[in-house]
Amino acid sequence: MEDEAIIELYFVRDERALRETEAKYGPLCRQVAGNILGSPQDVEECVNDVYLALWDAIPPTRPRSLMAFASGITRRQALKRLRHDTAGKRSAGCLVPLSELAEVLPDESFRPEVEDGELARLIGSFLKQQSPEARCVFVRRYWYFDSVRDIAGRYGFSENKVKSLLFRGRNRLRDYLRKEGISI
Amino acid sequence: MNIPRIADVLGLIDEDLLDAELPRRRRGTTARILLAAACVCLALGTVTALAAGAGTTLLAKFRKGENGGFESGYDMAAQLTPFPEEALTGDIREAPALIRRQIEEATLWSNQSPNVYICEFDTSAQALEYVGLEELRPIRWDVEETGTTLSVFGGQRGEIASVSIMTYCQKGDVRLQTQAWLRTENDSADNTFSVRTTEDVDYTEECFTAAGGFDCHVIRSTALESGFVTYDGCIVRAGILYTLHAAYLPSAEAQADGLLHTWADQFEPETR
Repeated sequence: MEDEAIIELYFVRDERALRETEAKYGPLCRQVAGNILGSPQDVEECVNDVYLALWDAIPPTRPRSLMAFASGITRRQALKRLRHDTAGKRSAGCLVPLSELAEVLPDESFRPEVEDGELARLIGSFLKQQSPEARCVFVRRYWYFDSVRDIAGRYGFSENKVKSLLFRGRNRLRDYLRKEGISI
Repeated sequence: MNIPRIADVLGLIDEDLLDAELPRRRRGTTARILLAAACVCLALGTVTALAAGAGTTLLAKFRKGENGGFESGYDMAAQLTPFPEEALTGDIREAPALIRRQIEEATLWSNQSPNVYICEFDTSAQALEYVGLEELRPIRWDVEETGTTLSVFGGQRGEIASVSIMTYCQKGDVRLQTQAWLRTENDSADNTFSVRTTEDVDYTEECFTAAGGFDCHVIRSTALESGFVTYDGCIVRAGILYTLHAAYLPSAEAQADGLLHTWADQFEPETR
């Protein structure tokens, strides 16, 4: 079923919307949650929370892309659950990829005034200027938390090529942020 | 910046970026398929072995509508030398494990053969480095490369059976694709390959002597519905098949033929 039709089902409060969402985007949501949460039980609970959140959000929201909207909610729900489960402990292993980015993003102790929304806007603008390859690999690694191996398999690249694209991408992001006045 | 905050920041990026996927390159109306023994039962009597000395031989050609067929095309045999898999010394050595994994994870609804591992490269030089075969020679000529697709064809245990390196180029009004095809000792198929198009075109065969003193075998097509005509130049050197496919309007024929000779003249005389 097309996204527009599924969204219409949400708008008329037809519960088939949830079945169609599960059929079309259930595997994607499980993948996103699975990359963040280790336990299959946690993943299933998280995905159920996602469907509830979708039901509550649509309407009034009318997503431009149901795939991106569902992925975004899944990511937020999974990170929320992860933080709850690991409160007071060191960061979970799934977030290790983000440590690669830490050195190219501003240190909040020096630049507390840089707001998250502004930084996200700049990163988005930067990504839109990159080649499709570099952009997709960056998003799969740092947004979806895919492993280098999975990204290589997804796009038919060697793992070395994925690592190289990520390395060069991080360096270009650091340079871009500096040009935009964000000191690292 | 601490990691939880980075996660939050990235969660705020534009949703449009999440939808993006890399497009798969698709060829035009002509499709090349590496074939197994089925080719040899085709009508061998319809063509001559004009270029047997070039390392390639035209086995059969046919037009759309002949014998109820829906495609035009031709089948060709190439005198390839199988290489030991160990001769491939680049990162391609990771391919067997990746192919095995693709086979394990294959689903009925997958639209990609699990036995084929495909990599995309920015340049042909990167693809050659990835393969790491000494006999595989780069083509050095003044054309703009727009990308290279490397396909590793594997067996059931993931072993490398054959490798195709296809580079897309553009020079003026001529669209070009160069291909290198090599086999390993794991490949049980015969040395034939096929070219197919869904349009009704005829093919002619010719040959010329390149600067290295060997023959270049050329198959030309009549015009497609778009007005474009095509040729395939074929050369076998050091046991590897190299082809050049060009598509161009008749007004660019002189330029296209010049490129064919430039390409063929890149190859050195056989030394081994």
